[in-house]
Amino acid sequence: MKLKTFLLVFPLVFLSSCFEFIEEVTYTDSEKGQCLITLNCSQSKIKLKNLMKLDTFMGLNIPSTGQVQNDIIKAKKLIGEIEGIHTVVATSDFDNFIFTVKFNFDSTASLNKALNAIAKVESTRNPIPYYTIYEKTEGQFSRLNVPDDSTAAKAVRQGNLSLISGATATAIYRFAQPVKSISNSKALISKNKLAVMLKQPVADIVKKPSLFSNIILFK
Amino acid sequence: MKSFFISLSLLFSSVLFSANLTDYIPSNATSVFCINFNQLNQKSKGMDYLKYLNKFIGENYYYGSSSCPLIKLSEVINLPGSYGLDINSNAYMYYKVGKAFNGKVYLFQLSDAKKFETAMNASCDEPIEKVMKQQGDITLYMTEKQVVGIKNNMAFIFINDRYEFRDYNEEEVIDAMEETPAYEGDYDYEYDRYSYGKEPYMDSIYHQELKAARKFSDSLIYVKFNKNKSLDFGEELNKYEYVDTGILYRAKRRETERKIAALNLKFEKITREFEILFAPQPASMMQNRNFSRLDNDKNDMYFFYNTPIDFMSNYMSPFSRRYSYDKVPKDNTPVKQVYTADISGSYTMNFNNGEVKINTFSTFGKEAFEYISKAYELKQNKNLFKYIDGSNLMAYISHSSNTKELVKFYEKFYFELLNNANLGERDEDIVPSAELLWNMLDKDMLFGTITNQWILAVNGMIESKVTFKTYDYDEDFKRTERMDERIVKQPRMVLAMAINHQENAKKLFEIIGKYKYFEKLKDNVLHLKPSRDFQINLYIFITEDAMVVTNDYNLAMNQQSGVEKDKMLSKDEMNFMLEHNVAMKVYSGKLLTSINDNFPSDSRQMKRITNFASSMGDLVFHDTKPANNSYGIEATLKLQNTSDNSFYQLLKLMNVNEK
Repeated sequence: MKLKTFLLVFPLVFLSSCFEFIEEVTYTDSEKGQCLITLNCSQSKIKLKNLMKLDTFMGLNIPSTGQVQNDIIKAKKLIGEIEGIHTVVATSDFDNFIFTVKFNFDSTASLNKALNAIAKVESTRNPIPYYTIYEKTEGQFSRLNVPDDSTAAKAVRQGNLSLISGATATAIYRFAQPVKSISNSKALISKNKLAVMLKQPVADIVKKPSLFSNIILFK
Repeated sequence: MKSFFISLSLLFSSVLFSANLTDYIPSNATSVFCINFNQLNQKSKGMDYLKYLNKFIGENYYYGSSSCPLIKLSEVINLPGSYGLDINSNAYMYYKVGKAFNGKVYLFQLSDAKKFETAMNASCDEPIEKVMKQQGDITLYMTEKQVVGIKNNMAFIFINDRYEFRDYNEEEVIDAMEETPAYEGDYDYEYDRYSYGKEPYMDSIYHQELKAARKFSDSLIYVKFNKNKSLDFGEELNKYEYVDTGILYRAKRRETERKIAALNLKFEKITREFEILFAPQPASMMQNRNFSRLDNDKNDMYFFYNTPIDFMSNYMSPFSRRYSYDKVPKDNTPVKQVYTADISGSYTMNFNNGEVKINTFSTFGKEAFEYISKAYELKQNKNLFKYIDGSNLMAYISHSSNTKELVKFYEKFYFELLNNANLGERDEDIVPSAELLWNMLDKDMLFGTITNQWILAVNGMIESKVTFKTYDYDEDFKRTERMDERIVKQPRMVLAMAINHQENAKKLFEIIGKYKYFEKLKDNVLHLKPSRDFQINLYIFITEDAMVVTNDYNLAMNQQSGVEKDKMLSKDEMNFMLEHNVAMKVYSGKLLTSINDNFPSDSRQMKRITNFASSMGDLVFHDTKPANNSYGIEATLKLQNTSDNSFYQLLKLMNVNEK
C-alpha cells in the first residue's frame, strides 16, 4: 500500500504525530488472498478531535468527518469496480480514529490495481502515476520500492517530518508456502515460517522509501 | 522686497491649497482608522511594511462582467510611488452609514494627482463598466462597487458595502420581491427549442436573433441529412446547439451598454451626495474633542470608534434589521439619548524603542460614566490568591468589577438602544416583551451569585492519562487488539471566581452536578468526565469564598484551602492585581521554555515561534483608573532588545520568518 495515498486521503495523519499504518496481505493460495489496510490514529485522538474543529491548520486543509467518510466510500466503490476484487469492507471509527479497508483479491495484479484506485481518490489535483507495488511469482514475493517523491520532498522541505516522528508503518505478509529468506534486514520471519513482518518509522520511510521494500523467497 | 512678496505669496498659496484630510471626515462617521506613514517610515528604517497592510484591506469586491475593480487598493498601498501617493503624511479610513450607501472611505494625500489617475485607469487591461464625471475641481469615477474622487492633491476611495448602489425604501423592497423577470427567457418553463436560457445578456433581441438563426439552420439541416445519409446526427445537433458568436457578441454588448446607462442614471442621482462626502465637512470629526486629541497625539496608528445612534441601532441592537434594505434611519423618529449618548472609543498603537504600546480608551456620557466608575471601584478579592500556584506562573488575567453596577448600566443602555432602534412594524412588540422578560429574571441569582472577581492562571504542566487502541502480534504475526495508556501533558489551568452569595452558589453547584456529564468526587467537588468532544478532565469545586474550575486533580481534591505557602503568589503579583481592575501578564520566556520542554518539535512552525518568542519580553496589560468620563486599558509588549525601535525589530523578525 502506498503510504502516500494515506497521507493524501488523510492529511490529518501529518498532524497526529503518533499513528500506526498497517498493511496486511494474506495469500490463501499462490494467487488469491485478502488485503487489510489499517490506519490507527487512536494515540492522537484528542489532538485530532480538536483539529477537526478547524478548517485549516499550519497550511493543511483539515477535512471534515463527512469528507473523510465520502473519500472512504469513493475508494470502496472504486475498488469494488476492479475485476478480480471481491467483498470490499471499509470501516471508520471516529471515536478512536481507526480506519480500515479490507478486500479479497484474485491475483496480485488486481491487488495492485485496487491500491492504485485508492490513491486515485484523493489525487485528482496531484495525479499519482500507476505504480506496481507487489510482484509475485512461483518462488518470490516482492514489495517494491515505491517512490514517494512529492509528499516526502514537501515534508522534508517544510521541516515537518518531526511532526510524525512517533508514527510507524507495519507490513505483514502471510503466505501458503514457507519463507526461505528476506532481503530487508529489519524484517522478521514468523515462527511457522509462513509470515513476514516489517515495522519502520514513517518519517524514515518518507525520507527513504526503500526501507519498506522487501524481497521474500519461498522454499 | 520682491523675493519677500514671492515667498509670502507662496506661503499663502501653500496654506490655501494644503488639505488637512481630517477636515474631510464627517463627524457622524462611525469609525476612523489612521496610519501615520511618516512616523512609521522612520521607525521601519526603510523596511517594507506596507505589504502587511493587505490583510487589513481585504479583497476588492467588484461588480459587473469585468474581472477588475475600478481601483485595486492593495496595489495602491503596495506601489505608492506608481500611484503618486504621498507616504510622508497620514492616511485615513472611515466608515460611513448613509441613506443611499454604507461603506468605507479611504483618504490619501497625493504627491502627483495626475499619476494617481493615470495609474488607476491603467490598472485593468480590459474595459470595465465605469462612468466618469468632472464636477468643479473634483473628478469622480464610479462603478457599482467603488467611487473614486480626485481633488487637488487628495484621493478619496469609497468602497460600497452593498452589492450595488440602491436607494430602496420599504415599498420598493416589496415591489422588487414581486418583480416580474426582466428577460423573457426566465419564464420559459415549457421547453422552447428555438430559444431558452436566462443569462442576463439574453434579452428579447437575443432570443429573436437566436430563433431566426435556428429556424434557418433547421431548414438546412434536413436538406443536409437528405443529401448525405451518413451524417452523424449527434454531431450535427451539437453544431446546431452552438449559438452564433455574432448573436452572443451583440447581446453582451447591449448588456454592457444597458449597465453603463443604468450606472449613469444612478450616478446622476447620487453624484451630489459624493460631492458633499468628498468636500470639507461643515461638521468635521475634528469637532469631536476625543478624536481631535487622538489625532493631535501623533500616534503611529489609531482606530477611533464613534457610535452615533444610527450606527448603534443598526449594528449593536440584536433586533435591528441589519441586513434588510429598510434599515435606513427614519428622519422623523424621535431619539432620546442619555446612556447611549457621547460614547466613543479609541485604540492606539505606538512603536517605541524596545516596546510596543497599545492603548484603548472608552469615553461615556456623564450619566453612563457614573455607573462605569462605580463598577470599577471594586478591587480584586484577596481570598482568590490562595488558589493560584505562583511558583511556575506563565500567564494570568485578573478581573474585578461590580457586576450589579455594570448590569444597571447595560440595562439602561440596551433598553434605550432598543427604544431608539429602527424596528420594523412587526418587530415593535419586541421592546415591551424584552422588558417583561428582563423584569421577571432573578437578577440576584444571575448577577449576584458569582461576582465579577476572577483570576484565570496558567501555571506549569500536568500529566494525564489517555487510553488508546493498539495491536499485539503473536509469534506467527496474528494480530490482537488491546487498550493501552499514554501520558499527555496539558497546561495546568485554574479559574478562581469569588462567591458573593454562598446559598445561591451551592444551589447552582448542586443543579450542575445533576447533569450526567458530571460525577461527584466529594460533596463539593464535581468531575466533568472526558467525552468524545472534550477530552480534558475538569474539576469544579466550591468553597466558602470561591468557585474554582481547574484541570488540576490535586488542587481540587487535596488543596482546597489553597496552595502551600512557599508556592503562593509573590507580593508584586498580588499588588498588581489589587491595583488594577483588569491585570494581565504573560511571561513569554517561561511559556516558551515550557512549550519547548513539553512539546519538543523541530518543525518549521515551531522554529518560527521560537525565533519570534525568543525576541519577546513579557506582555503586561492593565487598565487605567476611570477618570474624565473615560476608562482605558494599556498593554505593553516588551522586547529583549531595548535599543532599537520595536517596529523595525518586528519587521525584521517577520521577514526572517517568511523565508
